[in-house]
Amino acid sequence: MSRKRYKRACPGIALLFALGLNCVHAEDKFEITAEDRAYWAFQDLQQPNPAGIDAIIDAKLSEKGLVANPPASREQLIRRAYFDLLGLAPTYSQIREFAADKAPVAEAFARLIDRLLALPEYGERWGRHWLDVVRYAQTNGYERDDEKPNAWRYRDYVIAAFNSDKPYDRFILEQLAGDELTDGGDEGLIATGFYRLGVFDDEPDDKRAAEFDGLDDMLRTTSETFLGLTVGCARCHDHMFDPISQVDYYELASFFRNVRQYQKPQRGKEGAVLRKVKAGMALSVTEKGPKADDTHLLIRGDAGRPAQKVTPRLPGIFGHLQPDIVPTTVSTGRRLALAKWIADPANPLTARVMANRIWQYHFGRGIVATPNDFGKAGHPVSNAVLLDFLAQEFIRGGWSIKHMHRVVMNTRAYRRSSSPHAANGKIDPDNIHHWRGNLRRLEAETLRDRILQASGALNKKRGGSSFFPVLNGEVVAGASKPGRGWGWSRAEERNRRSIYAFVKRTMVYPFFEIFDYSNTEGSLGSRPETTVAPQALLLLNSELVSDNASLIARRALEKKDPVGEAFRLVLGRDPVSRERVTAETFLAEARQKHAVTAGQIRFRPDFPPSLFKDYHALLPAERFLQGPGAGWEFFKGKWTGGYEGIINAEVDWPPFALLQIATPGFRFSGKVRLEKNTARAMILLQARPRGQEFDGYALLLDADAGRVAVRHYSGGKFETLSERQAAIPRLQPLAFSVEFINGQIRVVVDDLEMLVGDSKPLDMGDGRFGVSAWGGPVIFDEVAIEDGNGRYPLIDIDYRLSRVSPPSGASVHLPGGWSAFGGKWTVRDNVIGVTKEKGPKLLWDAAGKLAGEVSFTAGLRVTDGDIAGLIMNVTDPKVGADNWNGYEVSLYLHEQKLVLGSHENNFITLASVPAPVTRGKWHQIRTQVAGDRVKVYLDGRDKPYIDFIVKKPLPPGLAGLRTWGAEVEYRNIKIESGGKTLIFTQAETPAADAAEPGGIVLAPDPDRHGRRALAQFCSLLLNLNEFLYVD
Amino acid sequence: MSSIIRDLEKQGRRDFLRSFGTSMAGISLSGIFPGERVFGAAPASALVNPLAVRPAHFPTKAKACIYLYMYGGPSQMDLFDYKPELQKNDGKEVDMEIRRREIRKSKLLGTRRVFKQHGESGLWCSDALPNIAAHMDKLAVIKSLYMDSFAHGSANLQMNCGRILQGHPSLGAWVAHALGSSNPNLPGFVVMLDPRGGPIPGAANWASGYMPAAFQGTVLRSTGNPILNLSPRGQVTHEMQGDKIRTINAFNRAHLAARQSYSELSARIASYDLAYQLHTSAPEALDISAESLKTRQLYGLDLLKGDHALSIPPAHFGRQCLIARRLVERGVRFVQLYSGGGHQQQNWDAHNGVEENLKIHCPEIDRPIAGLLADLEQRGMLEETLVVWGGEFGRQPVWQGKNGGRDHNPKGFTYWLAGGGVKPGTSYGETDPLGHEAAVNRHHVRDLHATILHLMGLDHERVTYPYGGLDQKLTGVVPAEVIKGLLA
Repeated sequence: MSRKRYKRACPGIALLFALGLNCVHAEDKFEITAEDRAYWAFQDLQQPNPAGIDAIIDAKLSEKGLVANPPASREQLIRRAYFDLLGLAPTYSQIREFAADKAPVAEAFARLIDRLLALPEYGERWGRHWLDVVRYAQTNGYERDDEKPNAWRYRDYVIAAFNSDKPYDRFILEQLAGDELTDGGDEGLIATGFYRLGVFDDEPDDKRAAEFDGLDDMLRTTSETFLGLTVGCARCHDHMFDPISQVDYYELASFFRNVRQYQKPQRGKEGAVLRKVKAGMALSVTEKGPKADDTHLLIRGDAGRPAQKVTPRLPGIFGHLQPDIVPTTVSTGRRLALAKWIADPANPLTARVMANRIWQYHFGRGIVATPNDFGKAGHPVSNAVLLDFLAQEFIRGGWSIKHMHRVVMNTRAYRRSSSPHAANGKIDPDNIHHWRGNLRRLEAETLRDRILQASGALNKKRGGSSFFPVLNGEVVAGASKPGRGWGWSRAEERNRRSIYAFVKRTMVYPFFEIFDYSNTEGSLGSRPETTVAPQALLLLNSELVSDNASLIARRALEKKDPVGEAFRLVLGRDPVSRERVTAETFLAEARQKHAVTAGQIRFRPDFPPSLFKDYHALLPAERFLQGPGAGWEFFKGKWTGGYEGIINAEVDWPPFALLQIATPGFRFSGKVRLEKNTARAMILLQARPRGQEFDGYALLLDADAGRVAVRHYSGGKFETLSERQAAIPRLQPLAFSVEFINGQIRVVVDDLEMLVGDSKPLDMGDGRFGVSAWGGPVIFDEVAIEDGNGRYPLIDIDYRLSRVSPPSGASVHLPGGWSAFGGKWTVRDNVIGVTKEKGPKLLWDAAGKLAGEVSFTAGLRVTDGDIAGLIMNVTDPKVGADNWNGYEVSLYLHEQKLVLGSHENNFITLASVPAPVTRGKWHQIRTQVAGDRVKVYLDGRDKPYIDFIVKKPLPPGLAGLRTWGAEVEYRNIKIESGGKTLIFTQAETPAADAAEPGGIVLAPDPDRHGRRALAQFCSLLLNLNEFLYVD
Repeated sequence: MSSIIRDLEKQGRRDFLRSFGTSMAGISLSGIFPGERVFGAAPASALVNPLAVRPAHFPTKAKACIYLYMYGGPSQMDLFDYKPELQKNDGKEVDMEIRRREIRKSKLLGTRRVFKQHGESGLWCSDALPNIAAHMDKLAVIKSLYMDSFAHGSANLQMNCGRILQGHPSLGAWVAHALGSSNPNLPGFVVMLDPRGGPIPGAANWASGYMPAAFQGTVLRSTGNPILNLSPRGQVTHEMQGDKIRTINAFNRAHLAARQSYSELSARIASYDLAYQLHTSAPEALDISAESLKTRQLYGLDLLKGDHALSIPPAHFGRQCLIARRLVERGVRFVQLYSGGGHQQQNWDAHNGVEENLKIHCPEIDRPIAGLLADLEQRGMLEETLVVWGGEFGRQPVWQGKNGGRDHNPKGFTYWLAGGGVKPGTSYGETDPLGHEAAVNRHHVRDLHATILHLMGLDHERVTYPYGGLDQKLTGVVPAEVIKGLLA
């Protein structure tokens, strides 16, 4: 290597060491042997073998008696390239297109690589590799595990660096000394966040030792990341395998000595870790000034036993060179000097180490299989000529990483098939010499991203603060303050790529952890790969997989051939006929078996017994008790305590769900089943929510204590009205019915009958039917509500098929045929939104005045405010709240009613009925005007809510939408006249043709079992090895 | 395959099918198992089962360990370490190191408990634990442990993982790494938590650190869903789950046909069989309904909650102790039970009153632990099971706060061991006369770790894992020794 730039410091010491003398105060004798000096990794790079990668590898193959595999198929190649460069899968049509490309494969593949390298998803893939190496996490670890503010800016910096193909030498300089560079700028400051990513104990046992722990973290990470050297061992004693002495360690550590220690950012003290950049604040380093404190060697690494003073100098194996250190006004310049030595093309390790990492991420295994340890304790280099070729090529290409992808991927070696070969397998089972491609498993993040990609849910939003994946209650329960430091993100945020997920050291997202995610505690060169049963459980049963499988099923059902479509979405190919048979057999059976469960509604509690109160406040009530998403409203129940910010669930006030419509004076009957671990179930009657609790009656089935009780809850207390000892068998359906008769409640559970309120009549009042579960799930079957008019079965609505994204970022253009009169109306995906204002109108005038019998149906959801509805027979519309004539049918959220009115520059209420309307839920209004008769239906119920004869019918007019002080979305707007559909704004949402599932769906989905069976099949496809592994 | 697990390659390929990692036993949905035939045909190159059974380094009595972790740091001078000098000087002012290099004038606080000698061994135990006191002849009590941190976060880490720094594997993970799991249908290392919350700093206490995640503790809940994602979501019956797995395996077998040499593919097929079995085997291990009323009472499942607002019924810890016995019976290697969760008086962290703290927590564990010892003995399991009791540190002999609290004390504290290979009825080591600092036969916790490994048949010098350029060990680089005085 070129050494002229460095002056030799204290040459005598190296000499003394070389002679094996115990110079100064080092604890033990340390010498660098001739063998150390001759070790391959410390040698200058060899002149590259001009023959290139394939020739180098082929030579090795023939030397070992190995035969190269034939090339992989085009289908395999495009998958491999997408996986390698983007961490995503090509779509079916992309695969077909590539397979049909007439150009020779090498040429077509080279073009593909160029195209992929230009995509922003590339940085998200390769940036993640780098985050493994630099121990990226967003919290400190230890007791409080507080967040490192704005750590995500570093993550975004890394992604951008890969995408812009920042030369690697510059990448090194910025991360190690971006603040000391004259042209470092904001990027340079953000890049030094590198130093701040490590674990940090905010309550160290020994503050003096903690300073050196911090220093050690910086030094170890730097040396392992950039140099593949494990110097950490030399903190307490000379390195046992590599020529790194304890003196070397402290001399290297002194480069970082002046960096201000990490501390909790607090007002006034933020400067130590946070610095201002244009975009805000960034995690960064500052030094204590241009002059550093002295650094001493510490005997046995003990901060209380300093020995001789050391100065910044490179290890003896590099000749104890002392780089030129030029202090700036605010820092010592030491880090920049070190960074320049590392980024120097003459450094024998830097280019080798990074070239090896690139090779490893392409082939699954490095040429040195321990990429963080090029020393003797690491794996030996498998092909030194190849590694040096790559390292030289890396430097020659201006340290361009994208250049290296082209160099590596445009080889025969990379394009080889991964098929086994018996003879080769005996000689080189681990494929160290590249006679074949390697079958590779998707990493945790890739797996998650590809599941979201297959379902179409993947949100491509890039950069910015992180999202919080949903955690199950049992995961949160392991924390000393369960849920502290975790957040709740909206559904679209949660569907972002995995690299944007929040990384909390003491609570790694289980999906990631189980699939061998990065070790967040220290630099990680390569991830271990394990195959364990919890991975299977996760892919079979997790919420993420089952939600996305339902979405895939939905997408597949839009096509003529759902089975084929499911294959194409998940696996990127058509099924062969044998697979179709397997699929159809599975579906037929599943359909049949699902039919048995068709009438079931399942409620599953998912909350830890204790929660940190801020997290409790963030979590939506639907998380505490999970059940059908539509038709039910959820509540958190009563939580008490507050000791150290922790609150506890109360067994007598558990989280519960109420049916969304009031059901006065009804009879409920059905079957209830407690699962193996379910301790209690409650059936709530005439329940009215009071905050997160309720008032009303409850039928308690207590399996643990073996009793049935009827309680009356009121004002935060409950009274037991009647109680009977009775065994509640688990795992079998118990018939129950509850009836209100003359101020009494008649309860029948199995063969037990109770009549409650026989001494004095109960005050029933109004209220709703509800459910709670404790310990485990409760399953209802064949539940029906009966009133004088009939019997209405309660059915689980597959809410995952009816979820809608809100129209954020909506277009301001209205489609043709619509005219706005006041208000800000927006449209996206055929969902029309309007902001909260007084009386804006949107009229459909494409067909002129609508005569004859008119039916007007629309789904609407009030997200904020009070009144929203439909208007008909509109004449004389003008801008201004009251400037129009016509009928209005509106939902009143505050007063919980449905109102029909007539407006002739003045509003007259014609009819008003109580109605269960809920903010944030989709409702459906259907209005029919035929002559003098106006009928209004709500939420798909057969019986009209309003059936009104108008004394003085209004003349024909337009139909439209009107709101009052409400933020509303409308969708699936259907206007029919004379039996013809004039307009149907079908939203790109599921269940578009079904009634808006706002309340109880009385007509079951005719193909519920089929849909569920297909969802099961899609989830099955997500479990296949073909999905998990790339050839 | 990653080099990090290269040491695993050398071992245990044959036992591939027999563990939580990738297992096959009982019913097979894949139809081609038990698969020695299948796997016999595959080259072993990439076949790694992290939890294959591996032999101990030397013959041993203990096959399993139940670690009763008193999170927060129980007070030695109120439970097992009787200090007459402290009682004599109760209320006197002394200089005492309260945090690292922080010496404060403090008032001595004698115990309010009554100590008595018990059994033939005459071991001391206070009246705070009357039921455990009846078993003193079974215990080896070490009173002279010390460790390196005054703070919970780093102290818990050191007690569980050997270092005060985060990122190292825990004791249970090391045992799983060294011995594998002898039950094909259950994890090798199980952790059960207090309902009030986990310990500081959470999952790092049962982590596998730089080792593969397969070795980390599996948190098992004694109520509710025992293992994460164990049950299907929605209306999917066990039978339907079986159909699904059968179909998955059929597809996977077809996929495998052209890729026979990739043993991880076969391993994954096997892992689905295990997942299916876990659905019944895990709840079965946790299901105590078949235990007799007498057994339930033995563990205190019938006892009511104490009257302190923060206390919980002994039934909780009792149920976990009973389940621990059931797990050990079924071959689980390492079970760690946490008593105490969250912060301060919710666990053994008695800053705000040691009497109050004992009143909350002693009844929660006393009958359960006594029941566990009695039950193990009557079933002849005690000889094969190592029981370890203790927290992350002990407490100070001086007052803290107004309510007679005690601060953390890593300089001297008590642990006890019982069962396989342990010398029963032993009192070993001493603190100074005030109970502050280990004085006679001092041992760092790394020696305790070495001893536990030894009792499990492992040489702590040989339980290693390569990381960061070093063959890492639980006991670290400072030499550790097995505490011979505790061995039978």
